[in-house]
Amino acid sequence: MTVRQSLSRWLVLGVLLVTSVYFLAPVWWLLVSSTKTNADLFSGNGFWFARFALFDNVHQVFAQQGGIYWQWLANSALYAVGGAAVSTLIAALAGYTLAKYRFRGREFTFNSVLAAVLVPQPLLAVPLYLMFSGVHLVNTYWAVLLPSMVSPFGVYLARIYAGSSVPDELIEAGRIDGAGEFRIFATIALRVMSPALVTIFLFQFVAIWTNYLLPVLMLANDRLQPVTVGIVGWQAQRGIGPSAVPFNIVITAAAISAIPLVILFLSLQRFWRAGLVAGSTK
Amino acid sequence: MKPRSHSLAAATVVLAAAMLAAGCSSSGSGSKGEAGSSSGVVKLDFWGWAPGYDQSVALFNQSHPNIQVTFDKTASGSKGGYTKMLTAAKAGNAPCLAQVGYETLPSFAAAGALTDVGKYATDAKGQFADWTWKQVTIGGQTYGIPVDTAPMALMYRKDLFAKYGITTPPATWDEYAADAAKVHAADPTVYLGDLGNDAYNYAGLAWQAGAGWFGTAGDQWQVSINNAANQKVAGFWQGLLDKKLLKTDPSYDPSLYSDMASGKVLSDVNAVWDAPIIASSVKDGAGQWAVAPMPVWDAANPVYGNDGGSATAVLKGCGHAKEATEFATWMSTDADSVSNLIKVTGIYPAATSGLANPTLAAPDAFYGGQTIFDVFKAETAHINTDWQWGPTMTQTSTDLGDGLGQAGTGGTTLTAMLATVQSKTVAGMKQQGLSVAGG
Repeated sequence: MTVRQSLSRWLVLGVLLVTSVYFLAPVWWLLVSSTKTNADLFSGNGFWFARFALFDNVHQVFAQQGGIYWQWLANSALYAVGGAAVSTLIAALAGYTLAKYRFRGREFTFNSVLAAVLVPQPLLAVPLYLMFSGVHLVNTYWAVLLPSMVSPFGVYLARIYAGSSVPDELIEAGRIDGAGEFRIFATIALRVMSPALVTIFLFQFVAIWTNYLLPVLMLANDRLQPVTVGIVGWQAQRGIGPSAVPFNIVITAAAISAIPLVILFLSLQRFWRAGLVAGSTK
Repeated sequence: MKPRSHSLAAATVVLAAAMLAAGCSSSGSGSKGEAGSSSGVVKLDFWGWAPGYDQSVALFNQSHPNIQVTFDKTASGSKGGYTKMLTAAKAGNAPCLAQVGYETLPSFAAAGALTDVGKYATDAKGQFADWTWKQVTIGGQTYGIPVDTAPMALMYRKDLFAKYGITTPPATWDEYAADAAKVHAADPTVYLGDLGNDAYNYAGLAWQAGAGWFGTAGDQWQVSINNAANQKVAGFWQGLLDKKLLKTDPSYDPSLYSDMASGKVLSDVNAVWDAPIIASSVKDGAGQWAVAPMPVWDAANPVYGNDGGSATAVLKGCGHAKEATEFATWMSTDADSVSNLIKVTGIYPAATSGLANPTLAAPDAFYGGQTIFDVFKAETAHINTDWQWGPTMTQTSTDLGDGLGQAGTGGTTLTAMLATVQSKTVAGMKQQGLSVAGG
């Protein structure tokens, strides 16, 4: 190995190291802080443990406000699983159609979807509220679920992936064997596209799980809120008054709310392999 | 009550307000509370986020069978609650009642999201100090009933003051500056106070000095953030910064509380709601803290500042403004309701009668057994009456907060920063289509 090569290797290693510290330090802080008592949060080293109070904190999180934290977690799960599942299915259908069928207006449709990718979601929250209020859906589960069921980015990703990974020969073979178009999609294309679908599902799940502005606007009832809005509500009380929520409870609640995302990533990771049938027809 | 982090998602308020002002067509108003009409029970909705409001609502519902209020807990104002209220007002399905901070009421008024309840509130007016009533009155229209106020005071470490030779807490700003120098000379790592980046805390200092930011003349807004009176306040604090006599930890930051706990920052000039925050955030030194009146500019004629407080506003399209006003007045003045709000919500009551509430007479162990509310009570009669908030506080407070943070690190000076905030505020108001004088 030349000097130059080893230098660039160390450089890359250094950059990666700095990046991972940058991303992991807040997570570490959250983990450490969730084990502390309220008093210890403000004294001593923020990045190292003090008295271990994690279990007590967790207990308090689930006891706070009559155990409403369970309800918030369940709501978040409903919004995220429901929204991500439906939007993944829609993205798969739309992406496959756009990639594999030629029809009038195909490029226009695809370009519209692309344009929609560029619109930041928070910008749509207020117009959505006005629309939903017109059809009397505000302050219901649907007000958060329905907007979560579409993902322009998912459609984009599904089209790109279907275009490059579902071979036309495979579809032709299906047709020759007498399978209908939907059956080809459901039994062949869907499986080939599964790595992309897992990605879409994950992206959408994370986006819905961490969404804040939409549920804040749409919902007026504490019991319909997802966990993000609930925790921010606790945090906003800033430890004032006897019914206020102490900081250690807010931090522990935040740490717990991240666990489902970690589990999801770890369990879906194995599906996340590139091209299932790459090279199978060549 | 109401320590807040206005700066965050709060920009959305301005966004929503602008959208309302630009306005697509109104989709009809008065949709709420029509069902009750003249016979039967009047039903009112109430949006807010403070803990304890629901209990006051329950008390009201018990004693008023003909008016039934439903309290819905929203996200706090700066975290999307205000956007939600403005959007709902636009959609024509806003609740009759909403918890709105004084600093935000003018932007609601500018967005046309409020109902004038002046004719129902004539009896209520006499139950509040003039300066609090002024906070809910904009351009001659009364938009709600005050709930709480936030007089400011000096919270300090009694034992450490004595250690550094300060026998009585500074009563004037001149004494404050002298004490700051004294402490720092004795130990260069120790500071008398902290200049944080909370724009509303700074507003309280300007408020005290009669250094108003906004006014109205005719139907024009006037902006005076950079006038002589404001330059005086900024000049005082910049003078202390130049001599490195102030710590510059961010407001409400763990670093500030850790400096307070380790005796590096000896005092804080802040609002009544900050007293319990310090008590719960600074564990070392419990019992050694005390509260003294805010230092004043003129010892012969003491005038104090206010930082926070909110109203129960009546929103646009309320079909039962009379009953809504009745409820809001009751919530702020009824003895049981006020006791509940003091105990659970942690408010400092705006109603004159509320100041005598026995709940406020309890000694506070963290503050060495002092009855700290007596200090605030004595101040409320002498709070500057001229202060008026502007319609673009989200933007103004963000710009000011940025400026305070930069001044703390030496990136700019407080005196220079005021001109920037002023011009940005005027530009922001013009952008919203508001009529502004000067620039």
